[in-house]
Amino acid sequence: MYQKTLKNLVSDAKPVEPFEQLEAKRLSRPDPNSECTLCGRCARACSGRAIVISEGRWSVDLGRCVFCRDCYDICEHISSVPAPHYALRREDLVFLAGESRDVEGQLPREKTKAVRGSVAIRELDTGSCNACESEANARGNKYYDMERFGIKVTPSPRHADALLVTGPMTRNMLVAAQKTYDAVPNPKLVVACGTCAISGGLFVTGDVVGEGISDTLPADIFVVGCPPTPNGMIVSLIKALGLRH
Amino acid sequence: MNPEFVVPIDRLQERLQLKLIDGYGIMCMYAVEEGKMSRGIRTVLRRDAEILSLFTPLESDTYDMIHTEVPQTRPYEREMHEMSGLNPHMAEHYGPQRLQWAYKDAYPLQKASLPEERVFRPIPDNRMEGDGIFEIPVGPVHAGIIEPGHFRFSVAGEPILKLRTHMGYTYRGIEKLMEGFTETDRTRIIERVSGDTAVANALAYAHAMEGETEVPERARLLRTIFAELERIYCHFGDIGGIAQDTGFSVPAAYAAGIKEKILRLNEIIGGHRFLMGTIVPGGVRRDISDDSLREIQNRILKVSFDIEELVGMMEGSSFLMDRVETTGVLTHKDAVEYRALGPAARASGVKTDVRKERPYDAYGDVGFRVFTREKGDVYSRMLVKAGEIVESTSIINQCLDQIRPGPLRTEVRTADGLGLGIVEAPRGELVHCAEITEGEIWRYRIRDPSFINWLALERALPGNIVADFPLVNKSFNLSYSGNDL
Ligand code: SF4
Ligand code: SF4
Repeated sequence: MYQKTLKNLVSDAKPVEPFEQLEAKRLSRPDPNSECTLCGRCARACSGRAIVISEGRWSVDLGRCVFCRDCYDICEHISSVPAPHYALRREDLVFLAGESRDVEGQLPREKTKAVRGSVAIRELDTGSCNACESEANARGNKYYDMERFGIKVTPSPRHADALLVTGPMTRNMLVAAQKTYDAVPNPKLVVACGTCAISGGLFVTGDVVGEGISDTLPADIFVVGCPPTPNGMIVSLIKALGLRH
Repeated sequence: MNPEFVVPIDRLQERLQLKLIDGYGIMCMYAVEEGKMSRGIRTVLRRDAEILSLFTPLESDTYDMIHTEVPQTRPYEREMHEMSGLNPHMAEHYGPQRLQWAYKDAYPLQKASLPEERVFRPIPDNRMEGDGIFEIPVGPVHAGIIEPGHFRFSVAGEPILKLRTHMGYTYRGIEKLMEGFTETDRTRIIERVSGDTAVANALAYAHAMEGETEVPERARLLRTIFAELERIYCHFGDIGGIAQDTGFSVPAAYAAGIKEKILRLNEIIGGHRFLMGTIVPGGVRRDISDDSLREIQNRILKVSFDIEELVGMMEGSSFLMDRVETTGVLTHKDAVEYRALGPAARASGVKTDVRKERPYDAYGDVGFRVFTREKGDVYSRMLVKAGEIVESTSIINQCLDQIRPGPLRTEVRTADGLGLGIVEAPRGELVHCAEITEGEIWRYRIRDPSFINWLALERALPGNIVADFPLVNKSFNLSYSGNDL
């Protein structure tokens, strides 16, 4: 039985998915067609307050969206289009009706000086619901196997190049989060991972500090999703840091 | 409706003691604000299917504490003190449970608006002292990818003498948010109380709101299937975690692979890897096609072989067995005294399972066994979880046999009064209490099983070595965010 399992794990028929496959699997975001009358039903149904209709323009903020699909259910004019895995600027996550943009850029060289072929990340939970943690753990399983791209999780912030932050930054975690950030050697990167970390998500009116982590830590990469998929996290790191794949 | 009794505060302790002797257990206890209701303490007790709710009106915020005589109430009294401002003079005694930044002369659940000013409450330094006794602080930021919590071990050499857990790092104020939100918003946020028990939480919320509403049969069966799928992936994650923490990576990788397969199955059938957004009050949100049902059947068939192989692999390794046997023993006595819940209690010989005792959804129509073990160590907990996976597959199969086309959702009539949602989450009995007045939620209380089981963990650890802490912790696999809310 041992041998059988070992064989399963190391045989050629490994289930690991190539980069292209990881990149192709995306979350979907809402997009209204031209028949949208701006009636505002979707905006009222949206728990994340992601859909905003103002000055005759419809927009969805993927930094707030919790991907619940309530808006598709409520309006037949809304269809789903593939969402980006990540963006490098917060404002890039706001999409207007019918708009499609490639926001998945690469960080400038001076930001990624510490990263040469591989990146060591330290996970920091600032009050997440543990779905983000679960997905971050799943990146290591045999389907995603992030270490083949040189992405590695370190136990200590002192060995890390990047801090992967989940959760809306609760008041209780603020001091610990700042200390962890300070412990990461320069130059360092901060990845805001998940709706909570990008904008505070559903908890923004709760006992949290600011709207998302960028009010307290300088976030460089915004990974969308609630929770972000494991492949989304991997692809974001690879593309934003220019890792080999 | 469940019978409700009014008990004056000076009789509460006596009444609780009598009820505990009668075989009731305290399921939840919380304070209610003045306003649309009168100020008081609500206590909900359960003995099998029987629910008893007591209401104790309060004239002033100060009363004589009862946890000195009824130890089960201790965490609840602490919570009432911190969140609802009862017994304010006890601040020194309790120390922070969730709120490290307290409000000045105010408390988080009050209806009046909260002041800006916050005061820091340090964790009290009541360490053990003596020759050669040291204290090891750990956390809130841990080495692995887990949630934040702070632990203090008092050690003499290697063995742990005492563990104190300090939680609250993921406190987001969900109970307060629940009072203001609309129906859909509440369903969304409740799924994110603790992400890996999204279904159980959504289910408990649905039950709390539904009251007497009859849910259509197809919806009840689908809910049961979702809940069991969640249990399966959670337990696989836990067993894999036990293997990981002993350093045995082959079964750990194997378990992670199976967990991933279930998560992908979830994505196919429910559109979300953690099945968020599938359950709504009154039924389920979306139908499942026959193809997906077949997909579930195929997957589930394999799962029962997978778990056998996984456990066989782990039991076949003597060094793993060395680590897990007799480690982190939760004695039967402690489990009963603290009213430990879920797999942790069942591994210590306490036969408790809400699915059996008070069937909800389709659990009354399916047959399954409640798995128990006597020893209460890590190995027993592992076996209980493995056994439950097998039972879950059988439950899902029985549901798939019974499923017929039909309506998915009904109109919910939310009645005023106490709405209760009691479900068996993967970690144990999960209780949601909704005090509904004039159709609105006046107070919402979520009692995650972790809220109680953290205390059980504190009891199970002394005598073990520090290096075994992650292992014991993993075998309980408690939720930090569910505890903190
Ligand atoms: S998917 Fe949900 S959160 Fe996202 S825009 Fe639609 S309604 Fe809002
Ligand atoms: S982003 Fe979503 S999944 Fe992640 S912690 Fe926040 S609520 Fe949970």
